[in-house]
Amino acid sequence: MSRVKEFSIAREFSAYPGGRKRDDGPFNGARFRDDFLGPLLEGNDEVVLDLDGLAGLPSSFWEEVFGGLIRHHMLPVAAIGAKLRVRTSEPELQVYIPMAYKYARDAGAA
Amino acid sequence: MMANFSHIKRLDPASGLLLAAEIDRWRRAASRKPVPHDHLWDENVRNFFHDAGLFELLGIDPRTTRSQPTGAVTTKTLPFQTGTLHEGGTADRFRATLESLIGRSVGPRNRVYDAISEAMTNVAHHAYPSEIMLWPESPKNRWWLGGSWLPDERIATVQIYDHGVGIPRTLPKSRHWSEVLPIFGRIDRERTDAGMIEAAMDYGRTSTGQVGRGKGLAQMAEWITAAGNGALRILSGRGALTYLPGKRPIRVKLPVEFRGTLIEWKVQL
Repeated sequence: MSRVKEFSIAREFSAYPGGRKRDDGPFNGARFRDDFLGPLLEGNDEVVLDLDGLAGLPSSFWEEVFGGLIRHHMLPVAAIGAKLRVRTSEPELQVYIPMAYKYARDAGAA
Repeated sequence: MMANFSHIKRLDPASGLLLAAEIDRWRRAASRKPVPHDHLWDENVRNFFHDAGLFELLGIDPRTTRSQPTGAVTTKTLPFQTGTLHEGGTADRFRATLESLIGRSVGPRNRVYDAISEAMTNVAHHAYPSEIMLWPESPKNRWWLGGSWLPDERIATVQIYDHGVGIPRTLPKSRHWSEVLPIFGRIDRERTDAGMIEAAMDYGRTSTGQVGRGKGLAQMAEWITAAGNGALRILSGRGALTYLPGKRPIRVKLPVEFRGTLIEWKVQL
């Protein structure tokens, strides 16, 4: 049986993410990718990131997470949307789903 | 040093934030407490700074208390905030406080959050590069945040200011400069500082991946784009750029160099 892990960024990381690098602020993209998302991807067959409850997702944070996964060889582009998915029930936050996949594709094409 | 405010009759929110930031910068660099002469200030100026929390920001006691204004109250001001990192909670609370002052939304929560957040992050990434010496000395990575509601004009404003070296001095040293340069040459043959800011924003809007400062500038404009009105104004170096939704940005060449970078959002409600 495949292991699927749902992870609420707002509840289990922060409702106020922002910043790209570790010294940008406490809830930066590099920290989320390496300390939270990386272990989740290693320990599960599929990870679903839930965006509900987030105040927003600044581009420097979100690009560092998804673009960074590709640049740091943590996940191939083809696995984005399959092994790692993003969901939200909040209409205002829907915009961040295609943005995540785009950041990964762009990093893969660079 | 003495700063005499007694000749100032009125302050707009951006000017008030710049003055407050400059005094705060001075007291941090000098490790001294400024002595206020607020009893000599015009009532408008005194009340503005009482509402904006100048004395709390500086850690000093005013000589006066906020007076009941003799004229109509034309501006409601939020307490200044300052920090050195991306502080998402501060950004979101600031929006919520502004909205409670006005009694309605100033835009989609996530757009406002992303705009202020990216401005904070840009300060940490670009404003105070270690390879460029600053004089007068500035507290590393510090930003100051202000906001207001102008009921007569029905305009909400938010400003974030840093005392760094400014966009026109850091952008040509960035690794994306070779990609910004052709855009800069195309949109502004005069090669002004305002044109450089516009080129960075344009590059951030159209390019992919890690595109440096431009992506943050482009996301700052998205609040205004989503609102469909108002303006985003960026002052840095000798340039002022005003972004208006659906229109060509307005570039202004400043007669004197503006120290640091001021980002100001204005939304009509």
